[in-house]
Amino acid sequence: MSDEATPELPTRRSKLLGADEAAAVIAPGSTVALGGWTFYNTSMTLVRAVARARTTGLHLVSSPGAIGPDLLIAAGCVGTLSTPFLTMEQFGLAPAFRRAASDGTLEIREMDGPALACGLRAAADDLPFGLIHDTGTDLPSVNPTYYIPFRHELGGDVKMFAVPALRADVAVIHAQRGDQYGNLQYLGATYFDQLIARSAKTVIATVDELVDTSVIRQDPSLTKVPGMLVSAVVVQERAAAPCGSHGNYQPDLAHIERYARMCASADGAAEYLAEFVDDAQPASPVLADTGGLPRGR
Amino acid sequence: MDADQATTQELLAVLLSRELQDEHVGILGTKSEIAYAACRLAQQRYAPGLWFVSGPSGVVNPGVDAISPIADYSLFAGAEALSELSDNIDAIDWSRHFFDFAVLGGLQVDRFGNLNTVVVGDWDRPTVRGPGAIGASVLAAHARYFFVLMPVHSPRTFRPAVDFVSALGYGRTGTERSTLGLPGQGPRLVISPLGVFDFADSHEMRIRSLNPGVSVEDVQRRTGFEMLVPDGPVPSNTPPTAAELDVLRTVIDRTHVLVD
Repeated sequence: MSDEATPELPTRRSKLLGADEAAAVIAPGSTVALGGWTFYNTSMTLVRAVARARTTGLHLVSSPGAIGPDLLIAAGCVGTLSTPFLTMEQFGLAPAFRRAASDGTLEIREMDGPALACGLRAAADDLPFGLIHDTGTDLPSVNPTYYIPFRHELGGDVKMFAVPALRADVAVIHAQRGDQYGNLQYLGATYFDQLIARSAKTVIATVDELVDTSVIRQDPSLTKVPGMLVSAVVVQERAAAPCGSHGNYQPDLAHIERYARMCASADGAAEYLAEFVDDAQPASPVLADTGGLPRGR
Repeated sequence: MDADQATTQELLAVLLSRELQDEHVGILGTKSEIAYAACRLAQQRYAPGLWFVSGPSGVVNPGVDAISPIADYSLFAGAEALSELSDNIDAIDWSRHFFDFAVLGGLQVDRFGNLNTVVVGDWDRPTVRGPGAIGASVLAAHARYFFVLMPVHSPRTFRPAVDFVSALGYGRTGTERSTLGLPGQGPRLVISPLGVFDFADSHEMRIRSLNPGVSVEDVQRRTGFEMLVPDGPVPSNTPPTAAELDVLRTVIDRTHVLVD
């Protein structure tokens, strides 16, 4: 027997990152797609990290949202907004969105659900555009770049619009648990997250709980977004709070109501940012030195 | 809570539940607590084979005995199916044959049943910035028919013409559905605290039946356009019955969400 050391085998690369490191992936002026749905499964830990960095000029492509997209608007991060829906539900209209809309400080690309789904799907499929039905709304009159009348002999009399691909530079999503290789398990609804993950160049995710890959393997059907699509994973207990996380915890409605109240004025929004965003400790320590984030696929 | 007196939200839920048809397939969007209660009440009393789907979460026929937001995880308990939105968007955003009905609402409805959830005032300098169009645009176009729930009946919410068409009723002139070749029939009924409204052959909104104590004059005063009145006596809605309220309060809404 030789007493030579066993040759070192390559190890599988961890994708764990701290929240602020992950948020630094998002460059000013880039296009960011945000997952979740209103008070559920929004990656608030990453939203706060981006807001803390005051990354400016973002084109935010958002799932139907609430405090997540509104907080990014309140922090001045968003130059252009593409979303079908932004509301604080029982707590009224989204305060920063409302203020920016009436001040004219935000470019709003008014759209509906079909245009969002179509744009994401075209991006996921590497097509320049997709097609939706003409449903007779006023949307094309205020957003002619997303609703382009489409005629082709194959279409006959069907009235359609072409919607350009919506390809985000970075997708920001949240799952209940995941492993260090980016396998994301959802214990409830996935909303637009799978489509967003397939459509963006780079995917960064938060999870409430880091689990060993052996746990992932016990129920692979829960892995709705496999790690091959994911570039970075941020682990943080209650990472979606004050939003809820399906299967783990419910929304913190008292905090969300407080947000809606405070952010009704610009001064209140500044106070909220100082108290809950800027003074907040970085959400988690740097968990691994990954040697930087890989480029998007 | 008064044992016999329905809250406004309970009243709307009961009125809608009576209109839902057995075996029909419906879809509910975000902020659908009243419609959710109506669907479950209809399943209990009028339409046991009704199907309804949560647009956001993909839950089909939830069976939990408390009302939650339609995107909430608690509705998963006892549901008959859970499908992914990335699959459901085909049914919601493209298919022209999937849903029999949708239940919609808005900041404004107009005399042709068009809905607005986008802005009050000019789009680029709104006086009220609404939440956006979401999937109501395509559900109004493609579902076989849709209901409109308006919890507030006032000249501000019942407009001669909506400021922005985010979901098409019969269109700006009452003729746009046929021009576009849409498969759906459009708005079937509008339900408000004053009563139930349908649409005349001209596609203009008309009183169908009023809630007890509400007069035609009350409706005209609280509507921003001339509401059509049916020939003959205006029917009166039966108030929510003790049996309906009992099911609503002891089976469907045990945590009393439908309070005023």
